[in-house]
Amino acid sequence: MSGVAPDELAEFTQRARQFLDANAKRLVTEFAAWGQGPDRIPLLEHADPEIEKQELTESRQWRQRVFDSGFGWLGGPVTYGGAGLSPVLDEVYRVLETEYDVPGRAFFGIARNMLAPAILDHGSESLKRKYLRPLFRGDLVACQLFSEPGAGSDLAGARTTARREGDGWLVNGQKVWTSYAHVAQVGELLARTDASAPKHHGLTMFVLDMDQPGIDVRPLRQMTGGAHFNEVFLDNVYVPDENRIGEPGIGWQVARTTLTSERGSVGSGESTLSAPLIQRLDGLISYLGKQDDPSARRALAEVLVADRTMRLLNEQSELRDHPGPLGSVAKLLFSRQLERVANTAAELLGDEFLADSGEWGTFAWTDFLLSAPGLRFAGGTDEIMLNILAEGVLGLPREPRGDTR
Amino acid sequence: MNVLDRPRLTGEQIEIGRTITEFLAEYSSEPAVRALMATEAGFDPAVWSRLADLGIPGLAVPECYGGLGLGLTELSLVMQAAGEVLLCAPLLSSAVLAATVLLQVGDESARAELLPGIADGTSRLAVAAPTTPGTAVEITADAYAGGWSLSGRARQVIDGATATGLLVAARSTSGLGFFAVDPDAAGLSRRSLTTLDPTRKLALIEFREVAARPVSGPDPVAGWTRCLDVARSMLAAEQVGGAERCLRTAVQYAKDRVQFGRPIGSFQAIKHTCANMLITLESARASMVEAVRVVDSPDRQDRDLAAAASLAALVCSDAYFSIASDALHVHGGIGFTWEHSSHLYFRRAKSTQLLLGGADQMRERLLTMAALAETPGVAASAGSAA
Repeated sequence: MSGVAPDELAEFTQRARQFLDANAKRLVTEFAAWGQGPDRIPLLEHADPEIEKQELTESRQWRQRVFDSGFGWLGGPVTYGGAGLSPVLDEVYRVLETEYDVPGRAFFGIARNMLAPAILDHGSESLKRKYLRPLFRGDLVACQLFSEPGAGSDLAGARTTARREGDGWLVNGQKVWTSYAHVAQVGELLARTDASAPKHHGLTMFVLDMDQPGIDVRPLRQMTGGAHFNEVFLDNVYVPDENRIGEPGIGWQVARTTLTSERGSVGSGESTLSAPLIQRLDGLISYLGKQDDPSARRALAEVLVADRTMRLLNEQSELRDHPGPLGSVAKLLFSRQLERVANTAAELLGDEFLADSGEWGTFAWTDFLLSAPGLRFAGGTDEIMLNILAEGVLGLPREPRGDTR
Repeated sequence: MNVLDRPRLTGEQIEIGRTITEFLAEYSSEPAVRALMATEAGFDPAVWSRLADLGIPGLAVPECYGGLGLGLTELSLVMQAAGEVLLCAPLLSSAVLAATVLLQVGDESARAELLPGIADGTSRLAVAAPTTPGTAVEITADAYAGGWSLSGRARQVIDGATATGLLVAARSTSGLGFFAVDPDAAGLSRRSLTTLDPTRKLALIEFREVAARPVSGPDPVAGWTRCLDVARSMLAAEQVGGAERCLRTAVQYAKDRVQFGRPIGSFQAIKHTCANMLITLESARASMVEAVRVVDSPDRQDRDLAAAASLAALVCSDAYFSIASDALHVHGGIGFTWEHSSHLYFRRAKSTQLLLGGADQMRERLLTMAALAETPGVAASAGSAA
């Protein structure tokens, strides 16, 4: 791997394994055999609030132990709590950790992959010292206060305002599609601070303390029936000026840093479909006795091919000099794969997909099908991803716009 | 994007890629390709001898057999660059397939005798063996007092009509074996076929009691399977090169062509087509880079090679054809004309998609190796498929 000598990598891997072996059990594969284990095939988690609280506590305790043992932020600067090693090792460690039965890191994905990179790239020295360590340590759950009812793909059209007030700012507006807002301690807030500036130049980014008056978080029920997202209403919410990420007016640039990191993580190894999902489809084919059915074999092979290709692309993108746009490639491949998997399961099941017969591993796929469309919007729609690739990588001309000033 | 936009290359490999790209820009222009594709031979001996001067045919041949002793990674860079310009030369037939057959299947004396000629370009060998898994060998080998004779026919032999020597797969009472045959031998007739892709010539070769010399070492069946997987990995590089060229040409056209007062590349319908081509290309590149990595790993297992090569063959074949089709479409009517290069890539793409085994066969191999959708009957038959 680039940036890490083979000896160093071997030494690190050994050290990480020692830590993991001492602190966790090896994962016995989630899908051991047909009919065993929970009958859920979750894509968007939406657990019962009590269960979620418990899971958050366990996940936080684990991340804190990982961090305090030196594996929480390997590529980070020592000054801010990192280990000062190659960022490649963070990925090496993440992959190693997937072999162990430890709490997932989903709660802390936004903190780690979105808010932290924005603070690192654009934040003040005091902001870095204040937030980076707790963000990587699992002390803080973060949410992303970006999208608004009137600003989706056209995110730079955000209308939530932040107005100067004493030593800080007063925030008013409404955000939407906010994952984890109901459990977050901090939010990365994109707000309009200069209504007279052109729209891409009037925005500023802040770190918002979520535990304060004026913030109303309401769950947003999605088509699966669960509530993964929230609406967030902001009514005269105070942010101290020291919580500004970057200069006033450069919020759009900060947002782009965040979104590039987000896309990378949506499509990357962190959410690549795990092997158990393919094993599950394979189990379904055996259960249905369709091993000799050419169309079932073809469909399964196509899922396998897409899975392997995505893994290779992610693995190799870490070795490329400019992996940035590959995040958009990864995200598109990922959302297409989800649809492929969901439709394969439905096609295999036929009318067993229509009603819950109580048979393990059958109707559970409906939740997966119903979650898949969401991934085509989250972190930027398919169409925005294609625009980014076409304009950013291929250099094709932008579309004429109706909003430039 | 170009031949060098691949992870894991060393400085020396980058230099080889640059050298061959520059060489081909000079010696394999589109007019040159068009002139050659109209000839029966289908390649330019002068250009081939220049390529040989650069050491290209012997790049991956060990030094003890007169080659440069570099890896298949280096050869894959040449294939990628050759694919970009549709180079008309016996690269796949002689430098990839024949050299690999000798290295993977051949016995020591055949290697020592035949590899130096391949490496220095003075021999151009073609391999007459079924390249599609499940296709029966249609040639029988009979032993007689003075040696062996071959009868039967070989179809779609790459560069078979112009090769200076043939390596022929034939069945005898002891199973599959490879034989060296002089194309001028009595009883042998060869005919150049009209091909879907005129930039790569294929021949039908018929054998009537043709004198032949056995060249196989032990276990030629496993060796031939490895050869095909090596060739699939190299062909994947050629496909990525061709697909890159198609995408680049289409993007340039989308920037230049103006309709409704705007470059057509500013319309999302065209822009998104191009972006999807890029996604397809990057997926193909990833699978090809992995296959080449595995091919060149000193401790590779046949199984890993088969899995990586099957994946690359599937992904790169489909990618090339879909990119070539979309690139043609982006050009509109002009892309449908004989004079435009689109159809040359379209032909090459479809032809390479089927040359070394089709998608169904590659999918079945992948399922088998991943132990998926297994039933006793299917697993047993797919396990032996090359």
